[in-house]
Amino acid sequence: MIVLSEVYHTVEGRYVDSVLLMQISREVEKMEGVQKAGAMVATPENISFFRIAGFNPPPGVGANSILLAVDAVTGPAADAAIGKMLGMIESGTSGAGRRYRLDELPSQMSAEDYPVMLISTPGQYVRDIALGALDIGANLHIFSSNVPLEQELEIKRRGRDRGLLVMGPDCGTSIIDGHGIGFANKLSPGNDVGVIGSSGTGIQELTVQLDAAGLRVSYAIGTGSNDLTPEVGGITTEQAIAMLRGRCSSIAIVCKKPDPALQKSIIARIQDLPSAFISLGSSESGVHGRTGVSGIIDEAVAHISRELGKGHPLAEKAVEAASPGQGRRLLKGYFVGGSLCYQAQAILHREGIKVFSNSPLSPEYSAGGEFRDRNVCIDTGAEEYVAGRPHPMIDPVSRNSFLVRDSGRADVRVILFDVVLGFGSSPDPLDGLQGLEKGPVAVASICGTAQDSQGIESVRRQLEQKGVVVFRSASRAAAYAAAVMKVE
Amino acid sequence: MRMAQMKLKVINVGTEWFVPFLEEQGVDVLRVEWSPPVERPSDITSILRKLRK
Repeated sequence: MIVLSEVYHTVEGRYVDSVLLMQISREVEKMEGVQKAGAMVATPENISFFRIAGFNPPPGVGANSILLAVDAVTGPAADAAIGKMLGMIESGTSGAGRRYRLDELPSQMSAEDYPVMLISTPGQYVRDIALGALDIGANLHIFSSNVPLEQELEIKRRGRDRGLLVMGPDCGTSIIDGHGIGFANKLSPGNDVGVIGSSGTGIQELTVQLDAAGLRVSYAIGTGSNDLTPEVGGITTEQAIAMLRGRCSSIAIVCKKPDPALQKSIIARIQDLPSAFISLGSSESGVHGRTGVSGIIDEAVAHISRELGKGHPLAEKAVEAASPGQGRRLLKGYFVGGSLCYQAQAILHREGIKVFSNSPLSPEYSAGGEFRDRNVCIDTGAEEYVAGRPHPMIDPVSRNSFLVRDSGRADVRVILFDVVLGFGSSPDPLDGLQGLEKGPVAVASICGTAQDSQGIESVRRQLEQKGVVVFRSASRAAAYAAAVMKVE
Repeated sequence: MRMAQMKLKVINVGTEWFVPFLEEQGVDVLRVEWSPPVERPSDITSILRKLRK
Protein backbone atom coordinates (compact mmCIF):
# COMPACT_ATOMS: atom_id res chain seq x y z
CA MET A 1 0.00 0.00 0.00
CA ILE A 2 1.30 3.46 -0.85
CA VAL A 3 1.06 5.92 2.02
CA LEU A 4 0.78 9.41 0.60
CA SER A 5 2.34 12.38 2.29
CA GLU A 6 0.28 15.56 2.42
CA VAL A 7 2.19 18.78 3.07
CA TYR A 8 0.74 22.28 3.42
CA HIS A 9 2.50 25.62 3.44
CA THR A 10 1.20 29.17 3.55
CA VAL A 11 2.72 32.31 2.06
CA GLU A 12 1.58 35.47 3.83
CA GLY A 13 1.15 39.01 2.51
CA ARG A 14 2.48 38.36 -0.98
CA TYR A 15 0.71 39.18 -4.28
CA VAL A 16 0.94 36.46 -6.91
CA ASP A 17 -1.54 36.43 -9.78
CA SER A 18 -3.91 33.48 -9.78
CA VAL A 19 -2.87 32.34 -13.26
CA LEU A 20 0.74 32.02 -12.18
CA LEU A 21 -0.40 30.02 -9.13
CA MET A 22 -2.30 27.66 -11.45
CA GLN A 23 0.80 27.29 -13.66
CA ILE A 24 2.96 26.61 -10.59
CA SER A 25 0.70 23.80 -9.38
CA ARG A 26 0.61 22.22 -12.86
CA GLU A 27 4.41 22.42 -13.12
CA VAL A 28 4.86 20.78 -9.73
CA GLU A 29 2.40 18.00 -10.58
CA LYS A 30 4.92 16.91 -13.25
CA MET A 31 7.57 16.20 -10.56
CA GLU A 32 8.42 12.61 -9.77
CA GLY A 33 6.49 11.28 -6.78
CA VAL A 34 3.93 14.10 -6.76
CA GLN A 35 0.33 12.89 -7.01
CA LYS A 36 -1.38 16.25 -6.95
CA ALA A 37 -0.63 19.85 -6.06
CA GLY A 38 -2.56 23.05 -5.54
CA ALA A 39 -1.64 26.70 -5.08
CA MET A 40 -4.42 29.22 -4.55
CA VAL A 41 -5.30 32.30 -2.55
CA ALA A 42 -7.09 30.87 0.49
CA THR A 43 -10.55 32.38 -0.05
CA PRO A 44 -13.40 30.32 1.42
CA GLU A 45 -14.41 29.24 -2.13
CA ASN A 46 -10.88 28.09 -2.92
CA ILE A 47 -10.62 26.22 0.40
CA SER A 48 -13.72 24.29 -0.68
CA PHE A 49 -12.03 23.57 -4.05
CA PHE A 50 -9.02 22.19 -2.16
CA ARG A 51 -11.41 19.87 -0.31
CA ILE A 52 -13.13 18.78 -3.54
CA ALA A 53 -9.66 17.95 -4.90
CA GLY A 54 -9.10 15.64 -1.90
CA PHE A 55 -6.96 17.89 0.29
CA ASN A 56 -7.62 18.62 3.96
CA PRO A 57 -6.50 22.24 4.34
CA PRO A 58 -5.43 23.22 7.85
CA PRO A 59 -7.94 25.40 9.73
CA GLY A 60 -7.46 29.11 10.23
CA VAL A 61 -5.84 29.97 6.86
CA GLY A 62 -7.17 33.38 5.81
CA ALA A 63 -7.87 35.00 2.46
CA ASN A 64 -4.67 37.09 2.75
CA SER A 65 -2.63 33.91 2.47
CA ILE A 66 -1.63 31.74 -0.44
CA LEU A 67 -2.09 28.08 0.44
CA LEU A 68 0.26 25.56 -1.13
CA ALA A 69 -0.75 21.91 -0.91
CA VAL A 70 1.06 18.81 -2.15
CA ASP A 71 0.17 15.15 -2.03
CA ALA A 72 3.24 13.01 -2.76
CA VAL A 73 4.38 9.41 -2.34
CA THR A 74 7.06 10.36 0.21
CA GLY A 75 7.70 13.20 2.63
CA PRO A 76 10.90 14.30 0.87
CA ALA A 77 9.07 14.38 -2.50
CA ALA A 78 6.36 16.58 -0.96
CA ASP A 79 8.95 18.87 0.64
CA ALA A 80 10.83 19.16 -2.67
CA ALA A 81 7.57 20.12 -4.41
CA ILE A 82 6.80 22.81 -1.83
CA GLY A 83 10.37 24.07 -2.25
CA LYS A 84 9.91 24.34 -6.01
CA MET A 85 6.60 26.20 -5.55
CA LEU A 86 8.24 28.70 -3.21
CA GLY A 87 11.08 29.22 -5.68
CA MET A 88 8.65 29.92 -8.53
CA ILE A 89 6.67 32.32 -6.33
CA GLU A 90 9.89 34.09 -5.38
CA SER A 91 10.92 34.51 -9.04
CA GLY A 92 7.38 35.71 -9.80
CA THR A 93 7.45 34.47 -13.39
CA SER A 94 6.41 31.42 -15.30
CA GLY A 95 9.10 31.57 -17.97
CA ALA A 96 12.44 32.83 -19.15
CA GLY A 97 13.11 36.06 -21.00
CA ARG A 98 14.04 39.59 -20.08
CA ARG A 99 11.68 41.76 -18.03
CA TYR A 100 11.86 45.52 -18.55
CA ARG A 101 11.22 48.27 -16.05
CA LEU A 102 8.49 50.72 -17.05
CA ASP A 103 11.07 53.50 -17.43
CA GLU A 104 13.08 51.39 -19.90
CA LEU A 105 10.18 51.05 -22.37
CA PRO A 106 10.69 54.22 -24.47
CA SER A 107 14.16 53.00 -25.49
CA GLN A 108 12.63 49.71 -26.68
CA MET A 109 10.16 51.23 -29.14
CA SER A 110 10.67 52.48 -32.66
CA ALA A 111 8.61 54.63 -35.02
CA GLU A 112 7.57 51.49 -36.93
CA ASP A 113 5.93 49.95 -33.85
CA TYR A 114 2.20 50.11 -33.15
CA PRO A 115 2.46 49.70 -29.39
CA VAL A 116 -0.36 48.24 -27.32
CA MET A 117 0.11 47.82 -23.59
CA LEU A 118 -1.80 44.80 -22.26
CA ILE A 119 -2.55 45.48 -18.59
CA SER A 120 -3.84 42.71 -16.32
CA THR A 121 -2.87 43.87 -12.85
CA PRO A 122 -5.42 44.25 -10.04
CA GLY A 123 -7.73 47.16 -10.87
CA GLN A 124 -6.47 49.55 -8.20
CA TYR A 125 -3.05 49.80 -9.88
CA VAL A 126 -4.27 50.35 -13.45
CA ARG A 127 -4.61 54.14 -13.49
CA ASP A 128 -0.95 55.00 -12.91
CA ILE A 129 0.33 52.34 -15.32
CA ALA A 130 -2.20 53.35 -18.01
CA LEU A 131 -1.49 57.09 -17.82
CA GLY A 132 2.24 56.36 -17.99
CA ALA A 133 1.72 54.21 -21.08
CA LEU A 134 -0.30 56.92 -22.82
CA ASP A 135 2.53 59.36 -22.05
CA ILE A 136 4.93 57.21 -24.07
CA GLY A 137 2.46 56.82 -26.95
CA ALA A 138 1.12 53.31 -26.28
CA ASN A 139 -2.45 52.27 -26.96
CA LEU A 140 -4.06 50.26 -24.19
CA HIS A 141 -5.79 46.90 -23.86
CA ILE A 142 -6.88 46.87 -20.21
CA PHE A 143 -7.89 43.34 -19.25
CA SER A 144 -8.21 44.28 -15.58
CA SER A 145 -11.62 44.90 -14.08
CA ASN A 146 -12.56 46.85 -10.93
CA VAL A 147 -11.06 50.10 -12.17
CA PRO A 148 -13.05 52.96 -10.56
CA LEU A 149 -15.30 54.64 -13.13
CA GLU A 150 -13.80 58.12 -12.63
CA GLN A 151 -10.35 56.64 -13.34
CA GLU A 152 -11.68 54.87 -16.44
CA LEU A 153 -13.00 58.19 -17.71
CA GLU A 154 -9.70 59.95 -16.98
CA ILE A 155 -7.76 57.26 -18.89
CA LYS A 156 -10.17 57.22 -21.86
CA ARG A 157 -10.26 61.01 -22.17
CA ARG A 158 -6.46 61.20 -22.00
CA GLY A 159 -6.24 58.49 -24.69
CA ARG A 160 -8.72 60.27 -26.95
CA ASP A 161 -6.87 63.60 -26.55
CA ARG A 162 -3.66 61.92 -27.69
CA GLY A 163 -5.21 59.93 -30.54
CA LEU A 164 -4.60 56.64 -28.73
CA LEU A 165 -7.06 53.80 -28.32
CA VAL A 166 -8.09 52.68 -24.82
CA MET A 167 -9.59 49.19 -25.07
CA GLY A 168 -11.08 48.47 -21.66
CA PRO A 169 -11.01 48.30 -18.68
CA ASP A 170 -12.64 44.88 -18.47
CA CYS A 171 -11.67 44.13 -22.07
CA GLY A 172 -11.24 40.41 -22.74
CA THR A 173 -10.70 40.42 -26.49
CA SER A 174 -9.24 42.52 -29.25
CA ILE A 175 -7.82 41.75 -32.67
CA ILE A 176 -5.32 44.17 -34.21
CA ASP A 177 -4.19 43.61 -37.79
CA GLY A 178 -5.10 39.91 -37.53
CA HIS A 179 -3.40 39.35 -34.16
CA GLY A 180 -5.60 38.30 -31.25
CA ILE A 181 -4.89 39.94 -27.89
CA GLY A 182 -6.38 38.34 -24.76
CA PHE A 183 -9.00 35.72 -25.60
CA ALA A 184 -9.44 35.51 -29.37
CA ASN A 185 -9.91 32.94 -32.09
CA LYS A 186 -7.64 32.27 -35.03
CA LEU A 187 -9.45 33.73 -38.04
CA SER A 188 -8.76 33.99 -41.75
CA PRO A 189 -7.60 37.61 -42.08
CA GLY A 190 -9.26 40.25 -44.21
CA ASN A 191 -11.32 43.41 -44.00
CA ASP A 192 -14.86 42.36 -44.91
CA VAL A 193 -16.07 43.26 -41.42
CA GLY A 194 -14.59 45.45 -38.69
CA VAL A 195 -15.88 44.41 -35.29
CA ILE A 196 -16.36 46.59 -32.22
CA GLY A 197 -17.57 45.16 -28.92
CA SER A 198 -18.04 45.81 -25.25
CA SER A 199 -18.34 42.11 -24.47
CA GLY A 200 -15.45 39.68 -24.85
CA THR A 201 -17.16 36.42 -25.72
CA GLY A 202 -19.68 38.45 -27.72
CA ILE A 203 -16.78 39.51 -29.95
CA GLN A 204 -15.46 35.94 -30.09
CA GLU A 205 -18.82 34.42 -31.03
CA LEU A 206 -19.45 37.16 -33.61
CA THR A 207 -16.01 36.87 -35.25
CA VAL A 208 -16.25 33.05 -35.26
CA GLN A 209 -19.69 33.15 -36.91
CA LEU A 210 -18.46 35.71 -39.47
CA ASP A 211 -15.42 33.52 -40.19
CA ALA A 212 -17.63 30.45 -40.57
CA ALA A 213 -19.75 32.43 -43.06
CA GLY A 214 -16.61 33.14 -45.11
CA LEU A 215 -16.43 36.81 -44.09
CA ARG A 216 -12.92 37.96 -43.16
CA VAL A 217 -12.04 39.85 -40.01
CA SER A 218 -8.67 41.40 -39.10
CA TYR A 219 -9.84 44.03 -36.61
CA ALA A 220 -11.98 43.66 -33.50
CA ILE A 221 -11.78 46.55 -31.09
CA GLY A 222 -12.80 45.66 -27.54
CA THR A 223 -14.12 48.74 -25.79
CA GLY A 224 -14.58 47.49 -22.22
CA SER A 225 -17.91 46.76 -20.62
CA ASN A 226 -18.70 50.35 -19.53
CA ASP A 227 -18.10 52.12 -22.83
CA LEU A 228 -21.74 52.46 -23.85
CA THR A 229 -22.90 53.76 -20.47
CA PRO A 230 -24.06 57.39 -20.24
CA GLU A 231 -21.07 58.14 -17.96
CA VAL A 232 -18.40 57.00 -20.45
CA GLY A 233 -20.38 58.10 -23.50
CA GLY A 234 -18.97 55.63 -26.02
CA ILE A 235 -15.50 57.21 -26.20
CA THR A 236 -13.75 54.05 -27.45
CA THR A 237 -16.65 52.97 -29.68
CA GLU A 238 -16.53 56.36 -31.45
CA GLN A 239 -12.74 56.11 -31.91
CA ALA A 240 -13.08 52.56 -33.22
CA ILE A 241 -15.74 53.55 -35.77
CA ALA A 242 -13.44 56.32 -37.05
CA MET A 243 -10.56 53.84 -37.24
CA LEU A 244 -12.46 51.06 -39.06
CA ARG A 245 -14.48 53.23 -41.46
CA GLY A 246 -12.61 53.18 -44.72
CA ARG A 247 -10.48 50.24 -43.60
CA CYS A 248 -13.31 47.64 -43.58
CA SER A 249 -16.25 47.05 -45.94
CA SER A 250 -18.70 46.83 -43.06
CA ILE A 251 -18.91 47.34 -39.30
CA ALA A 252 -20.53 45.12 -36.66
CA ILE A 253 -20.97 46.29 -33.07
CA VAL A 254 -21.84 43.89 -30.24
CA CYS A 255 -22.68 45.04 -26.72
CA LYS A 256 -24.83 44.48 -23.64
CA LYS A 257 -27.36 46.97 -22.24
CA PRO A 258 -26.22 50.06 -24.19
CA ASP A 259 -27.53 53.47 -23.17
CA PRO A 260 -30.52 54.02 -25.54
CA ALA A 261 -29.42 57.53 -26.56
CA LEU A 262 -25.89 56.28 -27.33
CA GLN A 263 -27.28 53.34 -29.30
CA LYS A 264 -29.30 55.78 -31.43
CA SER A 265 -26.35 58.09 -32.10
CA ILE A 266 -24.00 55.21 -32.92
CA ILE A 267 -26.46 53.66 -35.35
CA ALA A 268 -26.77 57.09 -36.99
CA ARG A 269 -22.96 57.08 -37.41
CA ILE A 270 -22.81 53.71 -39.18
CA GLN A 271 -26.13 53.32 -41.01
CA ASP A 272 -24.71 54.47 -44.35
CA LEU A 273 -22.46 51.37 -44.29
CA PRO A 274 -23.38 47.69 -44.44
CA SER A 275 -23.48 47.20 -40.67
CA ALA A 276 -25.04 45.53 -37.65
CA PHE A 277 -25.74 46.64 -34.10
CA ILE A 278 -26.23 43.74 -31.70
CA SER A 279 -27.54 44.54 -28.25
CA LEU A 280 -27.35 41.11 -26.64
CA GLY A 281 -30.48 40.21 -24.73
CA SER A 282 -32.57 42.85 -26.48
CA SER A 283 -35.79 41.82 -28.22
CA GLU A 284 -35.33 44.64 -30.72
CA SER A 285 -35.16 43.64 -34.36
CA GLY A 286 -35.18 45.83 -37.46
CA VAL A 287 -33.18 47.76 -40.02
CA HIS A 288 -32.14 51.44 -39.83
CA GLY A 289 -30.61 52.57 -43.12
CA ARG A 290 -28.17 49.72 -43.82
CA THR A 291 -27.77 48.78 -40.14
CA GLY A 292 -29.44 45.58 -38.97
CA VAL A 293 -30.40 45.82 -35.28
CA SER A 294 -30.82 42.61 -33.33
CA GLY A 295 -30.28 40.90 -29.98
CA ILE A 296 -28.93 37.72 -31.57
CA ILE A 297 -25.45 37.37 -33.07
CA ASP A 298 -26.46 34.92 -35.83
CA GLU A 299 -29.15 37.31 -37.10
CA ALA A 300 -26.56 40.09 -37.40
CA VAL A 301 -24.20 37.82 -39.33
CA ALA A 302 -27.02 36.98 -41.77
CA HIS A 303 -27.78 40.71 -42.21
CA ILE A 304 -24.15 41.65 -42.91
CA SER A 305 -23.86 38.76 -45.35
CA ARG A 306 -26.97 39.95 -47.24
CA GLU A 307 -25.76 43.58 -47.27
CA LEU A 308 -22.29 42.66 -48.53
CA GLY A 309 -23.72 40.15 -51.00
CA LYS A 310 -21.16 37.57 -49.94
CA GLY A 311 -20.70 34.85 -47.35
CA HIS A 312 -22.89 31.98 -46.27
CA PRO A 313 -23.91 31.98 -42.59
CA LEU A 314 -23.37 28.66 -40.87
CA ALA A 315 -26.31 26.31 -41.41
CA GLU A 316 -26.55 23.60 -38.79
CA LYS A 317 -28.75 20.61 -39.38
CA ALA A 318 -32.03 20.54 -37.50
CA VAL A 319 -31.98 18.33 -34.43
CA GLU A 320 -35.20 16.95 -33.03
CA ALA A 321 -35.69 17.83 -29.37
CA ALA A 322 -34.64 14.88 -27.22
CA SER A 323 -37.21 13.42 -24.90
CA PRO A 324 -36.39 13.99 -21.23
CA GLY A 325 -36.97 11.38 -18.55
CA GLN A 326 -39.77 11.41 -15.98
CA GLY A 327 -39.53 14.05 -13.25
CA ARG A 328 -36.91 16.09 -15.02
CA ARG A 329 -37.96 19.77 -15.06
CA LEU A 330 -34.98 22.08 -14.48
CA LEU A 331 -32.48 23.75 -16.80
CA LYS A 332 -28.97 24.29 -15.49
CA GLY A 333 -26.72 26.45 -17.64
CA TYR A 334 -23.11 27.20 -16.66
CA PHE A 335 -21.14 29.45 -19.00
CA VAL A 336 -17.54 30.58 -19.25
CA GLY A 337 -18.65 33.37 -21.61
CA GLY A 338 -20.71 36.09 -19.92
CA SER A 339 -22.11 37.32 -23.24
CA LEU A 340 -23.12 33.80 -24.26
CA CYS A 341 -24.84 33.39 -20.88
CA TYR A 342 -26.72 36.63 -21.51
CA GLN A 343 -27.74 35.72 -25.06
CA ALA A 344 -28.92 32.28 -23.89
CA GLN A 345 -31.20 33.86 -21.30
CA ALA A 346 -32.76 36.12 -23.94
CA ILE A 347 -33.45 33.14 -26.22
CA LEU A 348 -34.88 31.04 -23.38
CA HIS A 349 -37.15 33.89 -22.22
CA ARG A 350 -38.29 34.46 -25.81
CA GLU A 351 -39.32 30.80 -25.88
CA GLY A 352 -41.24 31.17 -22.62
CA ILE A 353 -38.68 29.50 -20.33
CA LYS A 354 -38.26 31.51 -17.14
CA VAL A 355 -34.58 31.46 -16.23
CA PHE A 356 -32.63 33.13 -13.42
CA SER A 357 -29.03 34.29 -13.41
CA ASN A 358 -26.21 36.00 -11.53
CA SER A 359 -26.10 38.27 -14.59
CA PRO A 360 -29.85 38.56 -15.29
CA LEU A 361 -31.61 40.34 -18.12
CA SER A 362 -33.55 42.27 -15.47
CA PRO A 363 -33.35 42.34 -11.65
CA GLU A 364 -36.51 40.25 -11.19
CA TYR A 365 -34.59 37.28 -12.64
CA SER A 366 -31.65 37.52 -10.23
CA ALA A 367 -30.65 34.00 -9.17
CA GLY A 368 -29.76 35.01 -5.62
CA GLY A 369 -27.55 32.83 -3.45
CA GLU A 370 -29.70 29.70 -3.46
CA PHE A 371 -30.87 28.55 -6.88
CA ARG A 372 -31.00 24.79 -6.50
CA ASP A 373 -34.67 24.60 -7.46
CA ARG A 374 -34.64 27.18 -10.26
CA ASN A 375 -33.78 27.21 -13.93
CA VAL A 376 -30.50 29.09 -14.11
CA CYS A 377 -27.90 30.38 -16.53
CA ILE A 378 -24.81 31.20 -14.47
CA ASP A 379 -21.86 33.27 -15.69
CA THR A 380 -18.97 31.45 -14.00
CA GLY A 381 -16.56 34.16 -15.12
CA ALA A 382 -18.33 36.69 -12.89
CA GLU A 383 -16.46 38.29 -10.01
CA GLU A 384 -17.95 36.05 -7.31
CA TYR A 385 -16.68 32.92 -9.10
CA VAL A 386 -13.16 34.11 -9.95
CA ALA A 387 -12.01 35.69 -6.67
CA GLY A 388 -8.47 34.38 -6.20
CA ARG A 389 -8.62 31.95 -9.11
CA PRO A 390 -8.16 32.12 -12.89
CA HIS A 391 -11.03 32.84 -15.26
CA PRO A 392 -12.81 29.58 -16.24
CA MET A 393 -11.68 30.01 -19.85
CA ILE A 394 -8.12 29.59 -18.52
CA ASP A 395 -8.92 26.98 -15.87
CA PRO A 396 -12.23 25.28 -16.76
CA VAL A 397 -12.21 22.72 -13.93
CA SER A 398 -14.48 24.61 -11.53
CA ARG A 399 -17.12 25.38 -14.19
CA ASN A 400 -17.00 21.82 -15.47
CA SER A 401 -17.40 20.50 -11.91
CA PHE A 402 -20.75 22.34 -11.70
CA LEU A 403 -21.89 20.59 -14.90
CA VAL A 404 -20.81 17.19 -13.57
CA ARG A 405 -22.50 17.81 -10.22
CA ASP A 406 -25.85 18.82 -11.75
CA SER A 407 -25.75 16.07 -14.37
CA GLY A 408 -26.19 13.63 -11.48
CA ARG A 409 -29.48 15.16 -10.31
CA ALA A 410 -32.75 13.38 -11.05
CA ASP A 411 -34.72 16.64 -11.45
CA VAL A 412 -32.49 18.27 -14.08
CA ARG A 413 -33.79 18.08 -17.64
CA VAL A 414 -31.18 20.16 -19.52
CA ILE A 415 -27.52 20.93 -18.91
CA LEU A 416 -26.48 23.86 -21.12
CA PHE A 417 -22.92 25.13 -21.55
CA ASP A 418 -20.39 26.78 -23.81
CA VAL A 419 -16.88 25.71 -24.79
CA VAL A 420 -14.70 28.59 -25.93
CA LEU A 421 -11.55 27.80 -27.91
CA GLY A 422 -8.78 30.02 -29.21
CA PHE A 423 -5.81 32.05 -28.00
CA GLY A 424 -5.87 32.51 -24.22
CA SER A 425 -8.27 29.63 -23.59
CA SER A 426 -7.26 26.45 -21.79
CA PRO A 427 -5.51 23.86 -24.00
CA ASP A 428 -7.97 21.35 -22.50
CA PRO A 429 -11.35 23.07 -22.16
CA LEU A 430 -13.01 19.76 -21.18
CA ASP A 431 -10.71 19.22 -18.17
CA GLY A 432 -12.89 18.25 -15.21
CA LEU A 433 -15.81 17.06 -17.35
CA GLN A 434 -14.85 13.38 -17.07
CA GLY A 435 -17.69 12.45 -14.71
CA LEU A 436 -20.52 13.98 -16.75
CA GLU A 437 -23.55 11.70 -16.38
CA LYS A 438 -25.99 10.94 -19.19
CA GLY A 439 -29.25 11.51 -17.28
CA PRO A 440 -30.17 15.02 -18.41
CA VAL A 441 -30.02 16.21 -22.02
CA ALA A 442 -26.62 17.91 -22.24
CA VAL A 443 -26.33 20.71 -24.82
CA ALA A 444 -23.15 22.61 -25.71
CA SER A 445 -21.94 25.20 -28.17
CA ILE A 446 -18.34 25.41 -29.33
CA CYS A 447 -17.05 28.91 -30.04
CA GLY A 448 -14.04 28.22 -32.22
CA THR A 449 -12.58 27.86 -35.69
CA ALA A 450 -10.83 24.98 -37.41
CA GLN A 451 -7.58 26.93 -36.98
CA ASP A 452 -7.78 27.11 -33.17
CA SER A 453 -5.10 25.02 -31.46
CA GLN A 454 -7.50 23.03 -29.23
CA GLY A 455 -8.84 21.20 -32.30
CA ILE A 456 -12.52 21.93 -32.80
CA GLU A 457 -13.31 18.53 -34.30
CA SER A 458 -11.56 16.70 -31.48
CA VAL A 459 -13.49 18.73 -28.88
CA ARG A 460 -16.74 18.04 -30.71
CA ARG A 461 -16.01 14.31 -30.84
CA GLN A 462 -15.14 14.14 -27.15
CA LEU A 463 -18.37 15.93 -26.26
CA GLU A 464 -20.47 13.73 -28.51
CA GLN A 465 -18.89 10.63 -26.93
CA LYS A 466 -20.22 11.92 -23.60
CA GLY A 467 -23.70 12.13 -25.15
CA VAL A 468 -23.66 15.93 -25.50
CA VAL A 469 -25.68 17.52 -28.34
CA VAL A 470 -23.18 19.94 -29.90
CA PHE A 471 -23.77 23.13 -31.90
CA ARG A 472 -21.32 25.56 -33.51
CA SER A 473 -23.59 28.47 -32.65
CA ALA A 474 -24.40 29.51 -29.07
CA SER A 475 -27.84 30.81 -30.07
CA ARG A 476 -28.70 27.50 -31.74
CA ALA A 477 -27.65 25.62 -28.60
CA ALA A 478 -29.87 27.84 -26.45
CA ALA A 479 -32.81 27.45 -28.86
CA TYR A 480 -32.39 23.65 -28.76
CA ALA A 481 -32.26 23.73 -24.94
CA ALA A 482 -35.52 25.71 -24.99
CA ALA A 483 -37.11 23.13 -27.32
CA VAL A 484 -36.17 20.29 -24.95
CA MET A 485 -37.62 22.23 -22.01
CA LYS A 486 -40.90 22.54 -23.94
CA VAL A 487 -41.30 18.83 -24.70
CA GLU A 488 -44.51 17.65 -22.99
CA MET B 1 -5.57 56.77 -36.10
CA ARG B 2 -1.97 55.93 -36.94
CA MET B 3 -1.64 52.24 -37.70
CA ALA B 4 -1.08 51.63 -41.40
CA GLN B 5 2.40 50.31 -42.22
CA MET B 6 3.14 49.75 -38.52
CA LYS B 7 3.91 46.53 -36.70
CA LEU B 8 2.04 45.50 -33.57
CA LYS B 9 4.22 45.41 -30.46
CA VAL B 10 2.57 44.35 -27.18
CA ILE B 11 3.90 45.53 -23.84
CA ASN B 12 2.70 43.08 -21.19
CA VAL B 13 2.10 44.24 -17.61
CA GLY B 14 0.61 41.73 -15.17
CA THR B 15 -0.14 38.05 -15.73
CA GLU B 16 2.08 36.51 -18.39
CA TRP B 17 -0.57 33.94 -19.40
CA PHE B 18 -1.28 35.66 -22.72
CA VAL B 19 2.36 36.19 -23.73
CA PRO B 20 3.00 32.78 -25.39
CA PHE B 21 -0.24 33.12 -27.39
CA LEU B 22 0.97 36.47 -28.73
CA GLU B 23 4.43 35.12 -29.53
CA GLU B 24 2.83 32.15 -31.31
CA GLN B 25 1.22 34.70 -33.64
CA GLY B 26 4.57 36.34 -34.35
CA VAL B 27 3.87 39.39 -32.19
CA ASP B 28 6.87 41.12 -30.63
CA VAL B 29 6.23 41.23 -26.85
CA LEU B 30 8.01 43.27 -24.19
CA ARG B 31 7.48 41.80 -20.70
CA VAL B 32 7.40 44.35 -17.94
CA GLU B 33 8.65 43.61 -14.46
CA TRP B 34 5.79 44.61 -12.19
CA SER B 35 4.70 43.99 -8.64
CA PRO B 36 2.25 45.93 -6.49
CA PRO B 37 3.77 48.95 -4.78
CA VAL B 38 4.61 48.28 -1.15
CA GLU B 39 2.00 50.00 0.98
CA ARG B 40 3.50 51.34 4.16
CA PRO B 41 1.35 52.02 7.19
CA SER B 42 0.78 55.76 7.53
CA ASP B 43 2.82 56.08 10.75
CA ILE B 44 5.89 54.56 9.05
CA THR B 45 5.38 56.86 6.06
CA SER B 46 5.35 59.92 8.33
CA ILE B 47 8.51 58.72 10.14
CA LEU B 48 10.27 58.24 6.79
CA ARG B 49 9.20 61.73 5.75
CA LYS B 50 10.67 63.23 8.93
CA LEU B 51 13.92 61.30 8.42
CA ARG B 52 14.28 62.74 4.91
CA LYS B 53 13.99 66.34 6.20
